[in-house]
Amino acid sequence: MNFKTQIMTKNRISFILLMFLAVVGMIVACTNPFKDLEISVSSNVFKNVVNLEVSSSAGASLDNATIVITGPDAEKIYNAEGKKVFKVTGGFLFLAVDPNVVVSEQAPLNINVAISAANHLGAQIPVKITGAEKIAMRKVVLLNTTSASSEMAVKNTSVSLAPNGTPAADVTVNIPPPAGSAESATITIPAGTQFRDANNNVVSGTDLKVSLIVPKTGSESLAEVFPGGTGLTQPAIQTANGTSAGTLMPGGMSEVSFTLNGTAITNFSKPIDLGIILDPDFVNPGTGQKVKAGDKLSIFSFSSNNPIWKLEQEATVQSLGGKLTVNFTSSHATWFLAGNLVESCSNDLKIKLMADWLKNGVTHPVTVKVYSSAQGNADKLLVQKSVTASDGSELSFDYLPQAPVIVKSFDADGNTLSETTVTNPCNGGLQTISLAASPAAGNPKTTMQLYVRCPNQAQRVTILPTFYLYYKIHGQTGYKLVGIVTNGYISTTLLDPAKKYDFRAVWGATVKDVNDVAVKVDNTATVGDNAAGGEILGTKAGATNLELLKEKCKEAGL
Amino acid sequence: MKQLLILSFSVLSAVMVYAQNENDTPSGREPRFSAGVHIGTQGFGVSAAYQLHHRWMAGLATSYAPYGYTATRTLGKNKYDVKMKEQLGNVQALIGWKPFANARSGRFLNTLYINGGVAVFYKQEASATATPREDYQYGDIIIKKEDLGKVDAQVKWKNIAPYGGLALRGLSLGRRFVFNADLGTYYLSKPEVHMTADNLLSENAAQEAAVQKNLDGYRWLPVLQVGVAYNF
Repeated sequence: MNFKTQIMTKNRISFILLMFLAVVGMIVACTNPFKDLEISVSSNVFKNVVNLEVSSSAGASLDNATIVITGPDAEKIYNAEGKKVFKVTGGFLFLAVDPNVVVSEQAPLNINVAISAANHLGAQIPVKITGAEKIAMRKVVLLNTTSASSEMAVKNTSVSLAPNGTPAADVTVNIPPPAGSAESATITIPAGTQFRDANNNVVSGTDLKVSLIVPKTGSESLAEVFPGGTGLTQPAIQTANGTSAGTLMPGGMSEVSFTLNGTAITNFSKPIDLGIILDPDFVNPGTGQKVKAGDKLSIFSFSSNNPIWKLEQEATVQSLGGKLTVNFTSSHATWFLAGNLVESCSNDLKIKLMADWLKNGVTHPVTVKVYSSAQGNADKLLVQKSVTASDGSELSFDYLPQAPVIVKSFDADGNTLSETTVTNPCNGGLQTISLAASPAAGNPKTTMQLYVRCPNQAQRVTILPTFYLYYKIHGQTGYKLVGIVTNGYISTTLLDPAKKYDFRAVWGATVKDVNDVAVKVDNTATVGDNAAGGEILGTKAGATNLELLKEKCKEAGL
Repeated sequence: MKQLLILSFSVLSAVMVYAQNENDTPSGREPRFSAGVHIGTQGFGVSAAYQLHHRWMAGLATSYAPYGYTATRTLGKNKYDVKMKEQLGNVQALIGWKPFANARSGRFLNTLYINGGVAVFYKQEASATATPREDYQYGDIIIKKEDLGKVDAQVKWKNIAPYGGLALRGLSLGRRFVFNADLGTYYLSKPEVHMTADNLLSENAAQEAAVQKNLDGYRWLPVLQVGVAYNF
């Protein structure tokens, strides 16, 4: 082999080795396909959620309220963290159904939510979860027993009893009507009456506190505070014929409660006399005309110890001093209602909301209210629901009366978007309602996209919890719902880019506020610890938020 | 694709004609045609080769590889069973050039070819399905792993890929049987990743971009295979 051939051979061997090494290099240089791949289980594990917006008639915070969940399906209910601890946070009580439980209209869940707070009448709210609405929202207002309002009269008075714990003479307590109303109530406690507690034991003492509440039965706010928690439509009303669903149409109401030396009184040794002065504009469903002397009305009662409306007796309307009154006796302290019962439909009223201005992913908080119809006009507000509506959103109302109803829809500012008379709400059909364009939604479409990046991670988190976003103009009071933020995204026409807003995000027991923010048409933000890179940690308690972020990221294994 | 195939076979034909016209064609006694079977990283298959010239060889092969295995991986906080499947099926046209044609190069180097060619993949799919290995605890709630859902990733490449590599051809096994070996690689198109997910894992489909980024470099498909052929 000559020198030239040797050189050629070496070159060819070198080339071949180079190719071999290149092939091996290509193989080992490939990136691990699982690099940075984090598969996370969604924190939105719940398929059915009920969010109760809990407030006080006096406007006070009820975050210290005591919550007790009872009923046949109570064990299937959890909070947002999957625990059995229930608390009102930021005005919201989040109740979620165990995701292993299948809920349907044929197999609904029934629970009872008891909410009690100092200086408030406790509320017992029956909640039926059918699965028709994945995220149902309900508003609950607890009546403050120490604070009157334009919609409600409150009277708290003390009566000194004889040393034997009874009135030495008849005691009459009268509560004047709320402003602009004729409705009021009077009780007379006969001399010698003994006062008993829930166990029927006679309570001794001399300091009798008497509390009377009279709401305006013609007011729309009545549905929010109506005992039973489901508006005037009730899933169960006890009558002589048994228990069935129905709608109570009140002409006058009063709540009567007593404490004797600090012990709650539930009944008496002698019947006490009650008189309720009626709303003269009350349309008696029995006659279809305004109530008048001689009409027969039913007296119902509702006790928080046994939270179901019961038919007590019949009473005849009398005209006394120009006021229409019903007088009756009772041996227990409770809510009393003078009015009529209308039987309920066996089918739900299903409603579909149509709106051209709610297409392309835009949502708007819409409140749908169902009224009774009196001579073709909307009369009493029976029940209402709030939805984060888009074009085609559906909702349903159960236990509506077997009588024509009027359905109205309102936008976030209370502007009327629709009014529809439903002659037969019992036929089980789907009622389509077209929503007029909301004047509150005339702003450009604003899109908000929130990303989250965990500290020490290059990639952003792909899974975010679904939460409620509320807003108010910066400096004003009273948050309004923007809508439900799904996977960090929401699109709305509620916000004006020329204004600054305060935002509140609510997820289970976690409430975060971001204040004094101007919105743009496209609002994208990443929550993270790289401030220099434009990431945010909130305008309040940034260090706390960072710790919270780290904790949640650690929980998620990120 | 059709144009590329036509071009490939045109080049192949031109080389064959050129090679056959050269003076140093193999003697008429030496077998010029061989057919055999092979097995390796691109699966198993059959091949045929034609000796055009003592330095040039043309070959045609088809291979099929159905791979699949399941591994447990921790992806984030939880463990997942990742079931991976790959199906590769191709028809490959090759031209081989022998760099050491001289008899003095030695028996081993004398069988070495540098190969180039193109393959048409009639099947080229890779997929991975991740399912949770354990039940999931959320607060006090246990969610069964079957209810959590799954994450699927599908990866696809274009059907045509060039090939380059080295081969040992015609190491005698006795009689007319010979041993062949190949080491090379395909250069694939940029892979396209599509991810889907369902139930409580559904939002992980958004990780498609991360997986796409990881697989962007997966353009070299290495081939290591051995085979036996019969010389006619």
